[in-house]
Amino acid sequence: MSERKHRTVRPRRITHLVLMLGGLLMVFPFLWQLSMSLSTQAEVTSVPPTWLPSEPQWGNYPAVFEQVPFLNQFLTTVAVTVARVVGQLLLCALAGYAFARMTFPGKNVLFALVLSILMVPYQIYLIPQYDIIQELGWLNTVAGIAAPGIFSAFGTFLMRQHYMGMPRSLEEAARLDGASPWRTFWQIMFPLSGPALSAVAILTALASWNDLMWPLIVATYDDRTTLAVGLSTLQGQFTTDYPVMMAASFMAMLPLMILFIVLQRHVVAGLAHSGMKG
Amino acid sequence: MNHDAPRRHRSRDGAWPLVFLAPLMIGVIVFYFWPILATFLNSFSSFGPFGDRSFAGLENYRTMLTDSFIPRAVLNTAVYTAIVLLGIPIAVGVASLMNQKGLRLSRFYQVLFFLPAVSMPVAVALVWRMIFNQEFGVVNWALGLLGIEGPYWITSPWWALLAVSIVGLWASLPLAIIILSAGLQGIPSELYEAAQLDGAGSLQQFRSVTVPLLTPSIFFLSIITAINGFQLFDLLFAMMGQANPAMADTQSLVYLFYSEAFRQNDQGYASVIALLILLIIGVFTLLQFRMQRKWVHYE
Amino acid sequence: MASRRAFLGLAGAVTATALAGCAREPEIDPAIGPLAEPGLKDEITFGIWDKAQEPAMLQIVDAFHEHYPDIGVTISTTAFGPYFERLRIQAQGDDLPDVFWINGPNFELYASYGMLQDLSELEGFDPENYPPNLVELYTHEGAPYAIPKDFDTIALWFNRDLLHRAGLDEPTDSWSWDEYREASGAVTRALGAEQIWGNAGGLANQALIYPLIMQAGGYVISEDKTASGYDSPEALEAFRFLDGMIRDGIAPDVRYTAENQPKDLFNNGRAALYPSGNWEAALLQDSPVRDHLGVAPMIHGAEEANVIHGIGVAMSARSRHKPAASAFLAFLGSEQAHRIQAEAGAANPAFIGTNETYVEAIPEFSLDVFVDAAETARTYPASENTSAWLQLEELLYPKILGGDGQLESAAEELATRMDGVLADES
Repeated sequence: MSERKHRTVRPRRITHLVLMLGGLLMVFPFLWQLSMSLSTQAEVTSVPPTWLPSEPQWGNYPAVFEQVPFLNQFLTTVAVTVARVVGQLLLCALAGYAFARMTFPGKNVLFALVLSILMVPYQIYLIPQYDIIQELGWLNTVAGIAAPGIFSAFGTFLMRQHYMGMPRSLEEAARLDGASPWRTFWQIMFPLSGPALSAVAILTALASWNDLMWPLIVATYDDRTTLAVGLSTLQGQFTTDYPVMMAASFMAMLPLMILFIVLQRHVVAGLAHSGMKG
Repeated sequence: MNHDAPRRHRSRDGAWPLVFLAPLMIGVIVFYFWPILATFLNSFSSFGPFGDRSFAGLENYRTMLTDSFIPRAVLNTAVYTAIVLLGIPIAVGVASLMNQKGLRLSRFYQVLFFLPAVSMPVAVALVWRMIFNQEFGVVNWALGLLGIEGPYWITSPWWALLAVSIVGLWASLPLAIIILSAGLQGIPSELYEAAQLDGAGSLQQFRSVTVPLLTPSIFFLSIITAINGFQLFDLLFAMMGQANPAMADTQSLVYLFYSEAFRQNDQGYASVIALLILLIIGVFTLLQFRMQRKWVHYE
Repeated sequence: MASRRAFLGLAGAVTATALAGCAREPEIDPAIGPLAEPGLKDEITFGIWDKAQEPAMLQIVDAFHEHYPDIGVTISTTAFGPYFERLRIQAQGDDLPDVFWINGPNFELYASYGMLQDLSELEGFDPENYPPNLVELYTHEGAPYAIPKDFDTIALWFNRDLLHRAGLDEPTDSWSWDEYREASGAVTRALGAEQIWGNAGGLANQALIYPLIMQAGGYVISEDKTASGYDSPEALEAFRFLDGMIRDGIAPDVRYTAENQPKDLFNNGRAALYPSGNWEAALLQDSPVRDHLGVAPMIHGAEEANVIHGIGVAMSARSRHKPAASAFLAFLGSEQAHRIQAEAGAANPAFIGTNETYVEAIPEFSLDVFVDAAETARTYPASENTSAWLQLEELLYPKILGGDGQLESAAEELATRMDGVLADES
């Protein structure tokens, strides 16, 4: 007994050591960012590095709002993310349900065509999408930034997989009661889609919040673009104020990080779903 | 309307599929199917500085054959992807440590290891740029402790690519660990018990049970990691910044695409580059699928 | 039920706008038309690239509101680096700001492609009010397409505290190249351990490389605009002068200045000498080392040479708010607006007779050095498609001064490629 205990405890200690050191390495950039965001310019550029500010410079955070239209960019990012998430949840659930449970001519071909979108790199779509948004007069609007991202092949795929796995008996009962497919979907199937919907929502929110190239070209005015674009143009603006830059980038990441820590289990499950892509 | 559906026996759903699918399909056609065609057509056009186009035949394709940036960008993208792929073995190790039964603090470790997955690439790129700063960066400070004079990570050609790749690897680890963890949880514990009865130590169990049974996950992961790798843009764009002397030697294919399309405003040529990216990803994925027979174990 | 309606509404909206989009073909009157009535209610955008000048521009907008209280002006500031990249995207997307800054290198391109409004008929704009060479810079085929906003020349900014600590006196007149090099070396030797450089280095064209090439007796572009001067012995002499300081550890490496911009080094008291333009004043008046800063005339080589340039303000030819934009543009060209930016120390105004206001705005910087330099400064080198060879400079300057023995070959390559661009123009 004592020998066996000996054998399991020792490796565990090494496991903890490795995971702790590795984990610290993974979060080091965030800790460093936080520390720099509270330092002075001189401390940030000092050699050797100043690990902790001698006196926290809280003023670096309000300074962000003076240097960039951070609030506008934040609200734009939130609006784009909400629009994309809500839009995708509705459209992908509807389409996924149709592909999973309805019969109509050309279903498989159509589904394969939709899936083929996933095989094509995003650059192929980019320039024509820009032309379309411009034609619509949606440049520099939330609608323009959000529009293409509302229509997701991957979200549709996930929802279809989900509905394929649900027992048919649920719907059969409703149909016998004379409910239309619309009511069947809306009142029975949709409310039962929680896990799949949350996976789609999480993946979309991540993609939308962090996206760079698309908003970079459709939203070229700093007060009407997203946080990612705002951050990318912060360099070379005015004079390079590193602490304020760190404060801005930290604030830009914070909402998703908090969301992750609060909803850890769901986010991990959602991310695991993205492994189904390929 | 349900009552008098004439072909009830064949398609009881009537026009409903149309109602369910139309919203998605309109967007898919407008924003995806049409653009594929448009990009193909654009590749035969030449564009003026402000988007005015004219027919150019195969000229954009010919330009690509002589453009010295293209082979370099392909090479850079491949090197980046290769380095990021090195994260998979690391992820296998971390995932198997993290998924030991009854490991305490495992939720805490998850937070530590998964945080990069939810972080904005542009934002972390700005931080890493500081970490890699030649003069006051932490990396060169650490190298200095070892008596090594660190290079200009961000502004000299190969070092910049290496720095961006290291960050890419760091950023790709969480997803890899998550997917491998899901794979690990699917391995039946009887297999380990059987191996234990055969007298296999934990390292041997890892080699003879864990790794072979993880190969389908690893295969999957290598495909998505490679595809993501070929899409390198955000990190490069934000870490290197504009007017970087190393940029010409470090740009990725997607960066080249962006630069041709929106800095040089040569959208015809950019379309050819986009098609090249499609071709490379297609060929690479096909190769991986063919090679998988040699090393992936399906039960 | 509510979400169901929302979904149907969304689908409807997508379809409707998709159809509407195809039919939309906006008609814009090419004529500039009269200025807005004072009571007009409208919203316009104003694109600029210098964050340091934003406060002054806001003051100008405030003053404008005394005449036009209901025309809202949204200032959109983009860093100079990506400014023209974005402007191109905006021009292509028919999405230009109503009024925006433009510079000499980009002017011809935008004017010749009909992106800019012809200002011949703009009420209240009289070209006589500005120096003829700046008016000429913004004239295309005989018509004005932008109003001169300011002008800038180059001088030697210095940090007297750092010079004194290295045992040097501050420059009172133009230093020769040798004096500049020696002073830089003395500061780097004395203070290098504190991460302080003698000069800030860098690859600035207008503020550093153009004047040096001219001071060596060379040119960037030949007078008939057909040949590049980058492979001339004079240009190579200028490059070797800069390269020598980098190789001897007196000036920072080009890889170093790519990470730590020269203006940041100087602004933070980490470089003693910094040849640059008067546009720095707007930024440096808030520098932590402001009290130590001063300005001396530009250094000189075999010849004295300086470069003059000025920003112009233009209107988009496809602005949908021409009356409001005209009113604002006319105000931007007025003496009042020029005095506001002068008083703020933001820019050396182009309006004749207002320079004194600028010089007095920050007396300790002796900005009169810049005004005096304008008398003999040479025209900013430009051709029809300047932006094309500016990209070549950006690409090849780092190779020329990169210190891997490519100085001559990279300069040769720059000249050859630039010659190619110039040949395409004619």
